[in-house]
Amino acid sequence: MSKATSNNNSVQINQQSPKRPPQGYEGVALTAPVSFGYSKQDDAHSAPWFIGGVLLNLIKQSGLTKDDIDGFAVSSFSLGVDSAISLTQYLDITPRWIEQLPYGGCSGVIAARRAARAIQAGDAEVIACIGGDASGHRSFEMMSSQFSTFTMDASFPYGAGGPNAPFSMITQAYMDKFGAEREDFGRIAVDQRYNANHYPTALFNHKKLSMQQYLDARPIAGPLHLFDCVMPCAGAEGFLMMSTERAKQLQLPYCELVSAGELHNAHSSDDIQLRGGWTEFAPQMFESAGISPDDIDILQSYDDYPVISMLQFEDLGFCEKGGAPEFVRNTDLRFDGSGPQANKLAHNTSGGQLSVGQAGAAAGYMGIVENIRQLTGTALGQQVNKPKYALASGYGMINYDRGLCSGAAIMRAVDDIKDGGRN
Amino acid sequence: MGSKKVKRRLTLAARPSLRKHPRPPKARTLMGESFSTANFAGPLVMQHCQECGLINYPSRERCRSCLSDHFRWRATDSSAEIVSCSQIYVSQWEFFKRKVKDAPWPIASVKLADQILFAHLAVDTFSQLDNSEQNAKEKSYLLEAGTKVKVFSQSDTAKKSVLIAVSEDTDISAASQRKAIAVAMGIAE
Repeated sequence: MSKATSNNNSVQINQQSPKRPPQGYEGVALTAPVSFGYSKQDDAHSAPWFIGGVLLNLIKQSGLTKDDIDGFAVSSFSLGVDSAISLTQYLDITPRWIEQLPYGGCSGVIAARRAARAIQAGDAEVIACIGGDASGHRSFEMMSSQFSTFTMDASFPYGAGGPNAPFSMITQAYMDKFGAEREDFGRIAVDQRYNANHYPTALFNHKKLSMQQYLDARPIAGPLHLFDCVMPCAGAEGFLMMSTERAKQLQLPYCELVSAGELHNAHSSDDIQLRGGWTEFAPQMFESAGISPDDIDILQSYDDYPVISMLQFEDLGFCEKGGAPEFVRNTDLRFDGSGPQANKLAHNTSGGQLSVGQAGAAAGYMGIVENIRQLTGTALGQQVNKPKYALASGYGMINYDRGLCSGAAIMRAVDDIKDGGRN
Repeated sequence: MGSKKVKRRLTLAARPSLRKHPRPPKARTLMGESFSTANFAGPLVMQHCQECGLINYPSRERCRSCLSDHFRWRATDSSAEIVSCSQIYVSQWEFFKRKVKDAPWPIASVKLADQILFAHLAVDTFSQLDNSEQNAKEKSYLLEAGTKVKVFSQSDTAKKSVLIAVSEDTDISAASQRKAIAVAMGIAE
């Protein structure tokens, strides 16, 4: 019964006459990448301190004033009694366009999509997109114990607090079905640590990670061991969106949004999550951009666990379903291509959450922010050599047994050095 | 004593238990409470939609398929199958923190009437698993996906109904048998 009914959703998606392709994102610029305030648990500052810190840096970097910012998109798990609107008074800004995006690891991609449309429609001219989270004492425990109706009633009582337990089951099912080994997940973690060793903001910047250390780590849940899991931390990320004209006027280095997509609660009748919503919109996204996955120079996948990066490699079209273990064996994921494999793909060039730390909703902005730096030639020590296309993928809200949000955005460097200020 | 009580109330759900014998998580939403209460009556009681017949889990106030709010709590067949297994080595909750000091805590996601349920896994009831003390500390309790199991509800020490998965051939017809399994696992007394 439920099979028939819930299957309807995915059948509709697959068999409907093709949807009208979304309008393009011409004329929209992403600029002023900011990563701010990363620190370990028990940081005493509140979420507004982190969010305001990003705002201050956005203003400094762009030469704008607070009054010039007329759009405000924000994501945070730790606002508590506050919200996007109370933050306007806290930070004393007067936006004519406002969004609060509670989509965890997909927040940044969704913020960029929403903000792009607002810029195109003229609803706002300069939009600050910010994700930031504090990490007060035991705040992570508090969040996992009260995450949602389903987690409170049906997963937390079993000891499955936070995403470790559902992800250990997903990882185990993936290993059983596709023959992945722990080393395969380790390749992702180890290459990301190499990238983080060159990115000063990463909380694990100073710590090397070898495959042996990865394999010898203490177990956390099922097949997951310490280096498969992100470290919750405090921190914030943000960027500005405006028209390309405005960015040129301000002589800001910028990159463009080319195409993007999102889909939520996709494949809801799958028993366990071995694919995400990307499968449904990625082909259209690449078609709109006029490129294929081979043209992507940098991929920022959402890496709360390595297995989910693998699902993104597959669902975004970098390899076949089930092909990610082989893909990571044959592909050098380092930012500088210094690994031994012939196939190269700069992946999670700042070290991703696995090596930077997972700053709550900021983790959902990290991929976009890092891509802006890379595409404008302003990376902080781990610059990929002249990238043209970069993809930021988002995945968020591990509710009960699976993550509900999937999103992705293709971004492009501006060719003309005068235009983009690149290099 | 009085001041202790106040302190516990102020510190909300996520603080470590101050009890000598900590309890499993107690907090539920109203629907979670309804599920818990409905299950005091029988081995497994689930929400059945009166419009389309779908069994819904986790419990909710609208049917996930037809969006009707016309539900009835009804006894439900306990047959299920394993989707994936895991064992927890690290937990944030004091009750499980103490459990995993001795051995990782086994849980499973199972499919029952096309719904996905999380359940405590009663590993002792599975003859194919190595339940020696040695294994309890070092190896995993992996059941293959598709393994047939039975699922029943049992009131835990927090006085909330939780689900327990046992092997297909385990006799769970009597309340005393079900309780004995939960007691052996240390989640009921």
